[in-house]
Amino acid sequence: MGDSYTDKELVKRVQQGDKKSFDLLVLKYQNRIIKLVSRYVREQSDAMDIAQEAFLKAYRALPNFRGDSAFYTWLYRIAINTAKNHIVSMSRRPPEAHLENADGEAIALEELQPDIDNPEHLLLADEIKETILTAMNKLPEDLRVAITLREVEGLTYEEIAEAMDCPIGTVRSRIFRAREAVDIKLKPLLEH
Amino acid sequence: MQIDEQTLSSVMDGEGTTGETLAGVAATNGTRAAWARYHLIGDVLRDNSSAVAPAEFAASISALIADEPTVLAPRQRTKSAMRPVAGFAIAASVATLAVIGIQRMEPDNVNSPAPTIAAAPAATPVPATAATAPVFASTVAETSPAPPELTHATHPAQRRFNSYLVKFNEQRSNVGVPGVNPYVRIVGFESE
Repeated sequence: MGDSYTDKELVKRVQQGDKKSFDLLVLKYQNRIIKLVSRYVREQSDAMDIAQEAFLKAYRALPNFRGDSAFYTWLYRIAINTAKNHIVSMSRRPPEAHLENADGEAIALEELQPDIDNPEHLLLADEIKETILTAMNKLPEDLRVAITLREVEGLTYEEIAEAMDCPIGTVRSRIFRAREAVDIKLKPLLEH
Repeated sequence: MQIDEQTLSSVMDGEGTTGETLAGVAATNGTRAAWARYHLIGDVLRDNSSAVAPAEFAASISALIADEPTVLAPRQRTKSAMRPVAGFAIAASVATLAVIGIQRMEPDNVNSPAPTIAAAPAATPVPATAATAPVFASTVAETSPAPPELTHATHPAQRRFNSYLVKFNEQRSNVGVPGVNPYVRIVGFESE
């Protein structure tokens, strides 16, 4: 088994009407999808907008997802198509598009999107990455190797157990302890 | 179902994942937040330049999806043991109908061969090799040369049998009943 199995289970649950399971898919893939669509647009706020639209499209299309490909592969294609459509629509859109609020006041579209371009978020993102990498470097070697084999190399617990010559239970424990140690440093930043 | 963080760590790697454990992860805010942080750790380890989604990104999608109608995938049909049999029965019925249809159309077709036989030009001499005597054969229903064995129709018994077939066919056709089965080749012959 691997995390694709987890995706299949989550997709199945969403297809049975469980919206909360889709939240888990969003939380799992949000960073990758934002990074992906950032290659197509210059503005980070546009990337956020496109990523949001891609997830919404994926949710609406999920009844037709048969699982012939991995969920992320399918989501990846939706995100790329959404980004391409966005580029086409931007080339047709008047330069200053505004919506009106209930009082008839104009609101710039950018105000509706989560703010990712501001220096505070950029600084926070850098701090998060630095914190994770620093915490990783401070891990005992067996924990660092276990989580690297899992997260970077994509090995299953069984394969890691074979590579590290230890029982699967030990692998499970090492990976969790590694995550927990990094998370202790990361959590305060995100709760800020 | 209460999910501790060690179980969460295994579940996100597809180890011991069940629909129930995933429902447990999705159910509580604390576990969902840990799920997001653990995935963020993985994203940064895989790609140092990974995007970091703002905290409100997933929440905004969740709010949008809450307004969407619940998606439900159509249930997949289970394969019935009777399906191959039913397919065979349908194919057999179609084949039977086709045969009956052809036979019903046959009187018109059968009527025409008789005069054709009569009107058929005298058999065309088949170029013979030096070693063989010329053989005469002409076909009514087809223009291709007769198979070799039919060229031996000069035998009196064979000739008589062919005459019988032609007469039988004419007689049956006159009363509107299909005569010789369509697949029986009728051969006219004439001896010098």
